[in-house]
Amino acid sequence: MTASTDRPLVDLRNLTITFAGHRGPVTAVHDLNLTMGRERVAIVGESGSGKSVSARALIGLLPVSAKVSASRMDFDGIDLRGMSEAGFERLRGSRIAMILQDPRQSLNPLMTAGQQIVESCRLHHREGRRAARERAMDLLEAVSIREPQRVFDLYPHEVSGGMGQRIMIAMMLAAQPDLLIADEPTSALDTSVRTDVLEEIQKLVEDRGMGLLLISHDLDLVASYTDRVVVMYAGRVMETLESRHLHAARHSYTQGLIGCRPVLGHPVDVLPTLERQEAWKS
Amino acid sequence: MTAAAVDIENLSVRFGAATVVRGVSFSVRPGECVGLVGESGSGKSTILRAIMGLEPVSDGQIVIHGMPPRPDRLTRAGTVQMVFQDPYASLHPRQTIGRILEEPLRIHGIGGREDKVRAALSAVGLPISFRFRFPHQLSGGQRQRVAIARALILEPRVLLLDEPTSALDVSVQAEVLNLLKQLHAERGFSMLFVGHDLGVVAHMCNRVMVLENGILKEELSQQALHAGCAEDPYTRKLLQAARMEAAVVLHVR
Amino acid sequence: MSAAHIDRAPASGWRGWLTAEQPESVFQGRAVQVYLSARRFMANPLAVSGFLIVLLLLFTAAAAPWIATHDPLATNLEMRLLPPSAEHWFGTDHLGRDIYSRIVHGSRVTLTIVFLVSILIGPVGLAAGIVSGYFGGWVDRTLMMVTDIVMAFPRLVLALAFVAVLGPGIENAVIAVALTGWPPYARLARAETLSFRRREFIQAARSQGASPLRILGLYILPLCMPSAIVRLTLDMAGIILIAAGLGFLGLGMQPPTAEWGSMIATGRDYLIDQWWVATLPGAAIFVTCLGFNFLGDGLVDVFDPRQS
Repeated sequence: MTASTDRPLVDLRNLTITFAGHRGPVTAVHDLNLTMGRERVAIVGESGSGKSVSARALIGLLPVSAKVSASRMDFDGIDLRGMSEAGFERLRGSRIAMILQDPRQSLNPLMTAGQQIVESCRLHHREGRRAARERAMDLLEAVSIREPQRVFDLYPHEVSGGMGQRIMIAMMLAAQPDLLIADEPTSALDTSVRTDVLEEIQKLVEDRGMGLLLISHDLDLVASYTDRVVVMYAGRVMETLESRHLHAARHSYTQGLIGCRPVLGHPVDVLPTLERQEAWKS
Repeated sequence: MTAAAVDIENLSVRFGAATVVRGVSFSVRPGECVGLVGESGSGKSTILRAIMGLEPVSDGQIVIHGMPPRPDRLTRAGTVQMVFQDPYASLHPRQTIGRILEEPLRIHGIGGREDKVRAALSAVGLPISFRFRFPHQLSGGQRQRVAIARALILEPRVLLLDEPTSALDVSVQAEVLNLLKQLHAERGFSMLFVGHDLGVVAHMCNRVMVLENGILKEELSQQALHAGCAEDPYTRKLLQAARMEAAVVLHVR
Repeated sequence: MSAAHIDRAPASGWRGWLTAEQPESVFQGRAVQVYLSARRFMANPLAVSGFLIVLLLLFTAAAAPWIATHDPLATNLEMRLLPPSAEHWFGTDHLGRDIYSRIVHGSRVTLTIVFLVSILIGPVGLAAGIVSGYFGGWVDRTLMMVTDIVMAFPRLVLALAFVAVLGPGIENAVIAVALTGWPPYARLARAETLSFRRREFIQAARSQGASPLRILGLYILPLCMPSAIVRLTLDMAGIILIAAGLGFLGLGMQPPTAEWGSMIATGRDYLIDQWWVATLPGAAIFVTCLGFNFLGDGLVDVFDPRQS
């Protein structure tokens, strides 16, 4: 991979996204600044915080009613502002890959898992059927699927949620992208596989020297799998922290997000909740 | 010893050739909160739906305290109520919140609806003015509060909860769980709580039933769940995954 | 993607009241919905033009005796086949009748057919569809079998056969069109009901003890109505054309009553030399069909459940 270390992978300055509402424009993201290299960054916030919208702006997947403005919006030195749909299409899949919440909805129900990965390999590498098949097997193995031969021939409805998400990840990896965006990759999964999938994503990203943008509402779960955390509320960044210094978070919103999940082996009577303050919105 | 609030004996539910629930027996004491856990496809939600009369019982019986074995619609609805998983799907998109809350009262021919709706809204911590809004104007957490208010407006003795917080943000989940605990303490109804997050279930329930492929594997007390003591290998597997997650989460805290 | 933050201060006055995020009464809540729908509709110029055409048609039918310049039935053989002029705006036909007045009066026939057909096929189709979709099982199989059989009949041919048996006339034309018209609505309503049936708000209604009738009438029907209305509007063109076709064949409204289809039929013989006799009623049919189609397309936007 040709990574130039001095150039950031993603460089967003003053990213503002507004939607046309019936009462005038509604701002979903306010002056977001984010610079990341080939590292793992989490954007965390509640629904409506603008975390997903920001990531979607990066790959040109916003609805037409959205207006994006930024003083800088670069991906690996490419200016994304005003990029055409065709331009985004070239980026998506090959350089930026995205994993969505529910694998069963993002996989093609009429193709087996293997076929889909093979297609993806052939599309991005222009290789023969046999070579692509071998690569697909390798990828299935890479995402810790124990019996790649068997899983290769399964249809999406025949696999569990965790397995589906692994297949999705394998498919995304086929293109050897530089940046992986994972939008709530575990919220549709059973708890017992949530950490496995996060573990898998983190491992692959590290091994392949990719950048990871992990989007979640679950601060204390995802923080361990990333280097940095961007905490958003109502379209604004509240705080950006090193993940290992999360316990030292100063912003009361971040503090509120930590600890609101009931944890096994850690009984409490009343769960701490967030006092959302109007002042955070400005 | 008073009679059980819910007594399930040898319950089986079949859909065509597939058996989703196989000979499950357990009971819920009055005022207790019992959890049903398992992975997707374990049949935990189906048990709730069978109790609610939304799925046919193929075998066995469900006895609910104070209700005849074959209750009519209204008797059942007045005794057991259910909160569904997805607050975006469980409210009629074209009815106002007020109308949604009035609906059970209308069906049961209960008067004084205006006051009851106001009381129900304030009990779940929503402003009275919300009754003129439509569901799409509410956030996920607010919608789930409306669903809880609707379930409680008939003052049922048993409340069934089908993963009531799994579609919500963790931060909102905490608020809804706190509300449920508070209402439970105030009103003393019995709860049957289906969940897949062991942390949530351990937080809410006195006892937990573990299901795998429609079979009841093990019963655990809240203490045993927190301590991670289990006999059954499947339960151990679930517990281990949950403890891994707990370790990750607590590490950050 | 929910709105995170609203920049502008709430609008004041009537507009503010009509766009309130927090309505203060049921009436206001409904009014806000209606207002927002109307705004979506108005944003589509084709829809508005369709609406205006339909409005014009309604007005023409209602005010026919006053806006017609002549008696539509008065023949005057001395004045036959006159081209459009100041006296006869659209010219006269082979019996010297004023074509403009006949078109104006013909709109009544067209509207009557449209109205009668829609109150027959809409409800019948909807009822069959939601019952079939909600109950499933043998009810569904039986109803859908009937639907399939009716759908297999060629519409115009069946209408012809029907009129041939019962005798020509507007009532029989309506019955003939309605008889073959309801199955698409049943299919549509059934498909929608199937998608709602397992939804949690229907399950919730069942949990509250709502009777099947209540669920069908208060929960499912309101949700199936919009697409049925849209479909009905888009179907209007087809219904008008069939009615005109029957008229053209002499099986619809009987002469001398003015009816667009039969007017074209009489104009057939003079098509080359006296073009207006057939062309102008044809244009009336064309514009009316276009109006209903535009209106239908606009209604799709209005009923779009995604509140943009």
